[in-house]
This record gives sequence, C-alpha cells and structure tokens, in this order.
Amino acid sequence: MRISPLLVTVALLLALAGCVPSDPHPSTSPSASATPVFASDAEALAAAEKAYAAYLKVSDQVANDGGKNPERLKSVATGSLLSDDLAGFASFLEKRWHSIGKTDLTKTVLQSADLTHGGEGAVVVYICEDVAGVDVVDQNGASVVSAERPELQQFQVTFDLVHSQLTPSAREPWTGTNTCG
Amino acid sequence: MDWHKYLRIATTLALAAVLTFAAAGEAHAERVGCSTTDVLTGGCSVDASVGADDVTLVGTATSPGSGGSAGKGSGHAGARPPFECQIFVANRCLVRVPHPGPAAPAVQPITLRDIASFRPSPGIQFMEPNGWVVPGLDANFYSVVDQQLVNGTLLAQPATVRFTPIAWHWNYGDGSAVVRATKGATWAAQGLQDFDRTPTSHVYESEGEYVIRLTIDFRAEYRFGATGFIPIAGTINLPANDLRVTVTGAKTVLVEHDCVANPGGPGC
Repeated sequence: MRISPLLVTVALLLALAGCVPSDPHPSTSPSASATPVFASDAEALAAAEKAYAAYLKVSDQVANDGGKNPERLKSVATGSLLSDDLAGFASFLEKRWHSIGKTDLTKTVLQSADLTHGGEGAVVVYICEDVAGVDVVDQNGASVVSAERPELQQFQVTFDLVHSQLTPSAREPWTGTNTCG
Repeated sequence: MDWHKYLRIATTLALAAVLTFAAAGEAHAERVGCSTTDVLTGGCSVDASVGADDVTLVGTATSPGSGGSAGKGSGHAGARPPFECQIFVANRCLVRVPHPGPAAPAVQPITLRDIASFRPSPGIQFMEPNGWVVPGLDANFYSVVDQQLVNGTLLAQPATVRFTPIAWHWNYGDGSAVVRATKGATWAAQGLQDFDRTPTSHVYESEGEYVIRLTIDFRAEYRFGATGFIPIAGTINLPANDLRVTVTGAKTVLVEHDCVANPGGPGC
C-alpha cells in the first residue's frame, strides 16, 4: 500500500500539535473535591478482602454444587469475573463435575486504589489463593484436577466501587511480585 | 534544532507502532480472566518469566474453554485446547488469538519508543538570586516539574502513561556538573535565609557569564484502563530551559544613610 506523502505530513503535524506542551507550568496537584469512600489504602484493602472472601465463599458453594444456581454469584461478583464464572459453571454442569472442599484466601497486597473517584477498577489487589484443600471430581468421583495445578495461585483482582460497595470484577493470573511467598 | 528533530523521529516511530498494531489483528481482542472452575482444575496458569529489567512477558495461557461446547477435549482439565496470546503485557493477555496461525506477528515488548507520542511537559528551572550571583556565595537553583499523567493510544488501545521525574542533571557552565535527586525549592520554601546552602545550590568561584543547563530524567509507566501502572525500562531525558547568570563581585562599603533613599549620599 502506498501512503501519500501529504497524508503522512498531515498525520505528523497533528501528532506534533498534540506533543507540544501548551502550559509551561505543569499543574502541581489535581483538585480533590469528592469525598473519598475509604479514608485510607488500608481501609480499601480491608473492604476488598471482605468482598473477595464473600465471593470465594459463594463460588465455592456453586462449585461444590456442580455449577447449579450460578446466579448466586451475581450478588458477589460482576464484570468479566462473573461472566467467566457463569461460563465455567455451565461447563461444570454439563460435564457433571463438582468440587469438594473450599478455597482459602491466604494473602492480599494492595496494588492501587482510587479512593476519590471510585467506579470500575477503583481498587486492584494482588491475591494469593490456596486451592490445596479443593478437589474437583467427575460423576464417578475421579479427580479431574490437572497435575500441573499449583496449590498456591496468584491473581491480580480488580474491584469496582459502585455505591460505596466493592465488588470483584476481574481476576487475572499474576506472575510478577510474589504475593504468595 | 535538535529538539524538533528528535520529536519528529519519535512521533514517526510512535505512529508506525500504532499503525502496525492496529493492523495486526483487532478481530479477537479479549482479556484473559480466570474463572473459578479454571482455578480449581488448574486451567488458569501463565507460562512466563520475569527478567530483572524486563517487565514485559511473552507466553501462552490455557484457554478457559467456551462453556457450551460439548465433547471438547478428553474431559480432563489439562487437555483443553490452548490459544496463542498475541500481545502479552506484564501477565495480561491483551489480544489473544483463538486459532493461532503460523504467521502470527511477533510479540512486542512495550518500550520507550512505543510511548514516544506521550510527551511529558519538560521542567522549568529557576534560580535565586535571579540572574546574578556573587562569587563564593551559594546560588540556589530549583525546578518546577511534577509527576504527570498523559492519556493517549498505545498498541491501538486507550492508555495512560505516568511520567515521574527522578534525576536532575545540572550543568552550571563553569565546568562543573552534578546529578541531583531533588528538584529543589526556593530558599523561602525551605525555611532558609538568602545565600544559604541547599541540596541544589551551587557556588561560582570566578566572575563571568555562565549558562546553566538542566536535563531532567523521567521514569515512565503505563496502564491500560484501570489496571495498575507497569514500569517501562529506561528513562526519558528532557532538557529544561537554559538560565544565564552573571557572576560579579560584591564589595562592602560603608555608606551614610540609605543609598536608595539618598543616592547622592556619602559612599553611594
């Protein structure tokens, strides 16, 4: 494909216009007018831990029940975490798998917290989960757990802050800083 | 001018990077999440490693499966079909390809070049006294610069880059140059008297005209959406304004009355 030199020039000029700082004195501090929902990072982390423990409790219950009534999760999870779980539990139900035991939340480290604005992704926490006490079995009672499954698993969990309520909305694998150690 | 040349090159590279990734494969952009069933069966693992200076990871993850499809795989969690992660940034698969082809583009780490279109405002330096200095006395140099958030597009996705000033390279024009870890502040702000020594002050020994050049190093971090900031290796070095100073001797003389009020007075 051939791009006209004129087009490139225009694109560069536009890009350059966006690059030149317009204000020689960078503003020092953004105005914080809204009242923070949490007074401190520690308070935000404590709220996130509580919300996540509630989520783990319900997700374990649904897993124990072989994926039945997964809508129970709607009160404790949202976003992609909820949709991933609903899809996963539908698969559990179909394969007639269920779990035995419960997941432990062993450690949390606050990554970031937007205490003023809230909204989606307001709080992000590194979380270590211990699944050593959980087995997943098929309808014959045979374990279907992968031999590769780590007992301690680290995740980066994102929480949404809506109406002063923290709800986990995404869980992704995290291999950076060792939260479990 | 060098600055404009650099800016132009950087912008071209940034545009090229954005265009490349925009064309690379937007069709199946999807985030990797870990469902409870994956966590419990062991299907949510990441195959990646972290280098000391490298925060960008490349790897594959096991697909969480598409829920409704029956008879897929052998029924064992470990036998699920894998997907290729096309753009993997610090443990997050930003773009994954359900059916990997042999001609998948190479995964690019996020580098300073990728964020060249995100420009922090360069700092501004000031000095006290303003424009003149007495040999042997401390002149206080300081800069106005802060952490900055710049929004833009990175790898065809909305992103924010955070620039944090971390080092101040002062060249005083008299043959001496130092690196400071602070931006400095006015004497008044530090609760000091004029001509006091500060962490960023300098003493000129000889009279003359000097040009003071300051370059500030910024650390850069990026984030997509509401995730945490991820550091980018290296620093960005931005020159601040130049200052010109006249170093001239001050003689102490005995005068009668105030020379401002009575310029014609004895000694004035």
